[in-house]
Amino acid sequence: MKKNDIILVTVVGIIAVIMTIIFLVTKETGNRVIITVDSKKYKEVYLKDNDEFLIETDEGYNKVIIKDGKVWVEEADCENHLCISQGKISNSNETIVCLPHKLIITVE
Amino acid sequence: MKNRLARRIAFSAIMVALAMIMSYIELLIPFYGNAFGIKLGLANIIILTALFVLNTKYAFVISTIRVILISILFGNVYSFAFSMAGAILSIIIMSLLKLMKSFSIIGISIAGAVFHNLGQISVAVIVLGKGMIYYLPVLLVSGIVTGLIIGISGGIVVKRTKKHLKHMFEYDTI
Repeated sequence: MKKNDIILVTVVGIIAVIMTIIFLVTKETGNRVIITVDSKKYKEVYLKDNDEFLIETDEGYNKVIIKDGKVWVEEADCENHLCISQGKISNSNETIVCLPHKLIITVE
Repeated sequence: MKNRLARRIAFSAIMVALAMIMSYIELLIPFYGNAFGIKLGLANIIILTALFVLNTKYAFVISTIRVILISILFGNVYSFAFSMAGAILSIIIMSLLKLMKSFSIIGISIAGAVFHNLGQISVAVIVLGKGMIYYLPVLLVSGIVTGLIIGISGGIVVKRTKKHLKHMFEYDTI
């Protein structure tokens, strides 16, 4: 370990902390759910409307549920199911991503 | 001279194969609760070793070929783009830092890991949209942690293999 290593880690750490603080401060409970597939807007619905739908892409499907002011992926046929383990989101800087299906769910 | 070049090429090929095996071993390690697709990056032990025991040129080629082969065998166009962006940015930064001589292998590994993640997230933003930017803090921190682990491991490997490979490669030159 040299001195510059410590400086590097500290700088990166500080950047991470600052970004986290910014995200926390600008966080707002969202009211719209925006779903993009392959960088194009696929669907936009309101967070307060309970809803359930299937997003089907060439690569597979994701079952999205909106309920009680939260949105999440209930079921999907992607390999790693990371989208499901990302849980339920309701705030403006939270996202759910399904990389294999090029799906992003954000809240605004 | 020809014999030496042949030995270097053969050795580099072994490094590529080792890097691919490390990637595979990584898949066998379960990482519960990983909602971010974070990887340990075990193959980078090989890349780091190549950088410090061989020279930068060979490390660059080994890393690049590894990405190409893994993407052809196990990936798709998107995984290729992600991996390539991360790997190239990572090796460039690591080579530059190594030239500066004021960083240890651990620092270089951490920088490599962080920039690997930055490269990948840049492609992610281009392909998937700006929502991906919220992953940056997580990726930065995981870059530090994995970079540290890989750096310590790489340091051990380098220490033990350097003297045996001295006859095959010049190191500390670009």
